[in-house]
Amino acid sequence: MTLLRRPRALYAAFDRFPTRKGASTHIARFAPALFTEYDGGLLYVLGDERLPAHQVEGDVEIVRYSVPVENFLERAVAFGAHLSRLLDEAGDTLEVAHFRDPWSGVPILERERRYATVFEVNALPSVELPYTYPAIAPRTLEKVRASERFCLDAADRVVTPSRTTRDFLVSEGVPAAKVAVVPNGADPVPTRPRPFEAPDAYLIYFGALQPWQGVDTLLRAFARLADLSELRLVVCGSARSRPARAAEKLAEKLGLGERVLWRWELPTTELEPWLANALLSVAPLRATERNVVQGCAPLKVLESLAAGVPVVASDLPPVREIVTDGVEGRLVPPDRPADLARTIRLLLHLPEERERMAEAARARAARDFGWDRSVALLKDVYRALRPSAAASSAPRPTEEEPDVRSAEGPKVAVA
Amino acid sequence: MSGCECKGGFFTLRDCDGAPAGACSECGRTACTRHLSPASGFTQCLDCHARAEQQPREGQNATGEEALDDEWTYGARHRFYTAGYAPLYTGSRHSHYYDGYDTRSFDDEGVPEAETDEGGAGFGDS
Repeated sequence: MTLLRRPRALYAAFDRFPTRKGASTHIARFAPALFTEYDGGLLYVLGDERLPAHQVEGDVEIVRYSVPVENFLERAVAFGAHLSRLLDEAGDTLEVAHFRDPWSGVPILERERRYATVFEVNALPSVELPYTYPAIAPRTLEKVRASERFCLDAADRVVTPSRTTRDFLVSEGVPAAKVAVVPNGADPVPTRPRPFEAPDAYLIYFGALQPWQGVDTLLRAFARLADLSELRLVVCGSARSRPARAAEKLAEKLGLGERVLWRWELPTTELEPWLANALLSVAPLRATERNVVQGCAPLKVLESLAAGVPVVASDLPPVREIVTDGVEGRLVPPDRPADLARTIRLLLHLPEERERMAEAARARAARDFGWDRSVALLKDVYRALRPSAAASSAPRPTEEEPDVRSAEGPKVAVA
Repeated sequence: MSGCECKGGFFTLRDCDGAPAGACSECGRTACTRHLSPASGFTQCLDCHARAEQQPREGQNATGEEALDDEWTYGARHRFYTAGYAPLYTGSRHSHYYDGYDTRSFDDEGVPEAETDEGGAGFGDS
């Protein structure tokens, strides 16, 4: 027996929490929204050797799966298996289960249940895993995709932060009426004193440095601005990871040397002064399937707007949802260092234009992207689920979907 | 005896510092009543008790499955999965959905997960 409470709500995410990543920010906003609707609940996330494996904070119980399983897939399955055991304890009292990934979703959806379910799709592992594991076997990827389809079909509601992602899911066969867009948010960033070690004039990139973020494009663009000898680029990375080290090497190869300042894993209180005093914030997202087709909702862009910092970002559908070219910043063709450099140079020479964009950015963030607004939209989803929760409690499998379990596990025919 | 040494907080973790009620028999940390596990008879802190609960039982792997001979399992599953059927992933402790062939795709070049931007977990900064 692990749980101390009988939760009415569950928020499950195969993410370490809390960390400096955007996913953590998201969980920190959305999980409490769920728990305030249900007088508390259970948060099930990943842990590590430092984070407590079990906590009780007021009405919220937190369980972190903390067994150090090295292999990603084995860890994901073990995470789901432990969730299944927790559901054995909590399933009777649960009224709603909200999950962020198929690793959590399948154990939640596969059982006979009386609770409603919400699948929060920020991204799909079948789209993102090949970037991290290029050698992933096609058959394995197809299995991951099948588990995602199962979750999309079986969940009562799907929420996603971007219209691009919603359109992608609908194109994959998810009924449009089932998908709600709940945008990411960013709260206003107050004026902050300049960090003591900050250069006089600098651009900023902040966030993770996965290949799809396009930091290499930014470094190549910055190399073209070498004549602006006082200008610096500040990269605030969420982790000094393998791709981050590759970026450092590229900067060295491009001869950028001390013109690039690297900062790692800054807490929000330290990151905000760097952001708030930057001339421009750059989000050079690449034109990859992950960004263009699946979609994303880059928190770095939202937080830059909220800080009143004009954005120069790639002209991609999910970015166009947040930034209007020429209003809060400039949109440039992706993966084009020369165009990015030219746009940055132009804006650096137009301080009044930057000031106008900064004002527009603050106004847009306050009007359209406050976390309060996102949380209210999410609560609407939960409330709409309540009357229909009973209807969704039909045990699985149904008569139309007969149980074909065998000793090897349940099977469905491959089309 | 100092205050409770267990961590508390939601987004920012800090020492609880509550009134001490005992020490964890596993890690030795001082803990308050809130951080001692009732299921352990208040002899372990919540953290240590939960970690112990999460460990696979003897003879089982991390997913709770019975540990079988790897090569036999690989062969049997490969034959099964290439016979024209694919199972529906159950994710439960009984799941045989993913096999050794699948997990090999994730045998990285020895780079610890913490070294990647995935943080060993789900999605990156969106």
